[in-house]
Amino acid sequence: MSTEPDAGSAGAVQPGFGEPLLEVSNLKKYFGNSEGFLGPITFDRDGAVPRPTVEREWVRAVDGVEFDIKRGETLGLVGESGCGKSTLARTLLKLVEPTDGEVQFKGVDLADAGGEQLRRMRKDMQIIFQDPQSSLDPRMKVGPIIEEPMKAHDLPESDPSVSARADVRNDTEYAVDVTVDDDVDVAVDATDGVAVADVEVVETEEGVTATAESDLLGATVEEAGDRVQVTVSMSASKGAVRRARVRELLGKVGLDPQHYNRYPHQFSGGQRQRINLARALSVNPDFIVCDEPTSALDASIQAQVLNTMNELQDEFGLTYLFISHDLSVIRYIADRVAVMYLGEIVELADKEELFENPKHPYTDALLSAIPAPDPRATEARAPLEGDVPSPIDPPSGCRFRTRCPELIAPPEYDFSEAEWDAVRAFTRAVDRRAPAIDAAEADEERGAGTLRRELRMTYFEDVDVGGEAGEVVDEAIAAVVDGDPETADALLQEAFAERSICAREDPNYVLEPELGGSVHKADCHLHRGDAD
Amino acid sequence: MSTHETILEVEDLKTQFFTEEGVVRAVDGIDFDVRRGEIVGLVGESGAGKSVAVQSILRLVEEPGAIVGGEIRYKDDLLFGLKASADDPQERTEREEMLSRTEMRTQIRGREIAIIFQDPMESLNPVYTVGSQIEEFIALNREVPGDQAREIAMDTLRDVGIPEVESRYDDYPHQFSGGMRQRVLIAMALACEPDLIVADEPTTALDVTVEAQILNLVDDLQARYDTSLVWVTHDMGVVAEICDRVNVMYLGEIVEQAPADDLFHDTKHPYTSKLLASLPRPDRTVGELDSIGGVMPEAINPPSGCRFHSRCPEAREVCAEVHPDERPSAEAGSHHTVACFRDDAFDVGYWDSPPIETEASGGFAASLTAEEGESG
Repeated sequence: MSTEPDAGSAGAVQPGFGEPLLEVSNLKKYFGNSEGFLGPITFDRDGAVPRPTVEREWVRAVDGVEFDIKRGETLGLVGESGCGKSTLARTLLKLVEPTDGEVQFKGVDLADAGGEQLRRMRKDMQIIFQDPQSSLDPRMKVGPIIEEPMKAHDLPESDPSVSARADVRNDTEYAVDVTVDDDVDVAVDATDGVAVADVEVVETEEGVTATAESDLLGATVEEAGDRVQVTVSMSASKGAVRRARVRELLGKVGLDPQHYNRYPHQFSGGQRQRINLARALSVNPDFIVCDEPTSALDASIQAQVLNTMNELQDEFGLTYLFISHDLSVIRYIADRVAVMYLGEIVELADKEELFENPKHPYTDALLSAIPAPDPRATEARAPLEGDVPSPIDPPSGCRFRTRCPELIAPPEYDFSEAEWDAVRAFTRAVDRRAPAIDAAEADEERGAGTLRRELRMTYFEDVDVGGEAGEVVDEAIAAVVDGDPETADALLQEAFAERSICAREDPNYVLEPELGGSVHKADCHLHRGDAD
Repeated sequence: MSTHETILEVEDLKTQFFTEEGVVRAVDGIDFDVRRGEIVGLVGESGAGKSVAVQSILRLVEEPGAIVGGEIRYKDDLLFGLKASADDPQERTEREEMLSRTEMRTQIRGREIAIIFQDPMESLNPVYTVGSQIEEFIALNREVPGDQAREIAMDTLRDVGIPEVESRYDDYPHQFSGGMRQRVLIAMALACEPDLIVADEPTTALDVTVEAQILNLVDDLQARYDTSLVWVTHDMGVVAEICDRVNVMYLGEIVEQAPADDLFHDTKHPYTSKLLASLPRPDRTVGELDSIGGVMPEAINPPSGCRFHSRCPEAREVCAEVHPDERPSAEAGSHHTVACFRDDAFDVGYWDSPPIETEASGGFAASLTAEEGESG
């Protein structure tokens, strides 16, 4: 089969291995959360007459993402559910229209590509989804399922840039001249731009006959004196070529070619994911987005599928974007890793660098959260507190700052580490209305003094925050006990959280990697001193 | 972990499903016990029978399934037990002292043994508020009046780390995040102060950071209330993290039973060691994963002899002929049992038996469900 790009992706240039295949800059995808004609209208009931206002809120699913994927590599994309991984994948393939930003695939901007051009470019970009069951039509047999993308793109088609030649094994006394049709590269794989058809010429009782090794080719012979003229041409229909390719692919993904006529329900989950792989491979893509392809599989089956994906990558020179919430899987399959949080990529580095030398506190937190399959790994874990904030109104500056264990202290106060730890913990507890805060607020039996003392014991047991900061803390504690945590929250946010550099400036740092790779992007203000 | 008294004892439990295609032997003769204050893991891949095993303990197995044999004891109660019938020695009937369905409902479930399921959304009723559901549960099981039930409900919700309990009490389940919903279920399970909690894949649907929060919470609460847990999971990482003892299940049977540390560092059964080797590691980079060939066969027609022999790299002829029962390992001692002829506790001539070709060793079985591993 032809492996080089066809004329359809006009302007597209096949990059070399290690050069960027896909370049993404400032990609954004917002969803309106109040859909419909009247959805965005709200009524302001404060005045005498309700005044309608039109206001749309946007869910910022992907918010200014920038990275590239080099040909032949696997970029791992990891993050928790709701961080925008799958939206990013769909936006990359233009399955959903991006709000802003640019995606360049082989040097062509997908935003500019429309209609037929986009359809043809899609041939080179495939996607595999998490649930292998729901992405296969239960009423179609496996063979036609795998064949369908080839039909949609009218494959196989001959590549005009590939020339054709024949390798003749001549067992006769005649000299052999060969002409080969240009389109035999459909049936024979091309190497270095040349498709070579193997032909055998023998003499039988009926005269000289020629046979092509591939079932899909035919060879005819014309005798002329002491020479024979052999013509090699396609004898099989496009359908037959496609079916032959399906059988070949079934074998490649580790299934039995005999299973062509079975239905998806006759396969196990792991096998169904292999069918999805074969379907994605059928059109000879350069780039496959794998959206949690093994999350629904058992451990032993997952290992088989991951190994197969690795082998196929080597064989077909594939480029993967591998999305997963599972860092162990990412560590196994990826070359480089991007960590996503709340619509942004917060850290991007080579695999070893990222796992052994993580620079973003969120990556640290993710890594320490995975339970290692070893009871002797007794590393004490400090799980993140709270939930991921809403992507409608994400925190200013660094989006992780509301949960970050290493939030930087505002320079106004001269906090010791213990003081800042206590103040930070208290600020967050009030913001989240943590159980202790909640209980103090709800308690109506005990006196305000007792409750205040108790709160202080809970959050400021060994530290004594003095000065201006101390006054704010006192005021906040009093407000909580008075049953007004909103005021307390506003006070603390204003005095502490929002004065940190983490709240005021967008972090954006490129660091010198220590363990390989060319760049280490880590968007955390802790590195404001070490960045280039 | 004060007394170490055994509170749950499961002996030779067999649960089968009678389907049109035949009898599915989902759980086929398992033994295990749970001591006070202990977290016991039940680990295995999908289809191993883990969930059916715990549903059997609570007698929640429904048509066409039924418990067909064995004995389940919880403290002084017999949750399930059979005896030979007086008229026909072949037929077996339920023993008199076995708890009735009503007794199971009023005395055991919720009060003594609570269960937490994998999908919190399915365990909560979407049309009732979270508060009202937990309140009703407490009022019914602890027989307290409404006001008091509400107070206990709020306290328990705070205990499991739900923020803003006052204002969220009247929220509906869909207004909670996945992690918060799972906390609600844990709160519900704890609300009646049961002695045993059965947790069926409770963290599988959660993100790692949320899972870490829940595991920490369970650790804390377990230490505080001295509750015992049966923790069902497919995740060896979770097992390593919280379990004291582990039972490894394969195709309806327990193939290895050991304290957590022994299971990971002195692994005796080939299935356990292959399962461990097939895991991608978060803490180190591995070249190629060592996958198990093939898929787990159907429980309708399990392989002869050792059920794992069709996928076992160590299989020999004797493994296909004789069925290994679970025995204390000769080397590791009585607390570590294993069902594999390679252990010296067995004397069936394994080492003289010729090796057989299995999917793991490269044989290509033509059956549909059997060649998954060929490429692996």
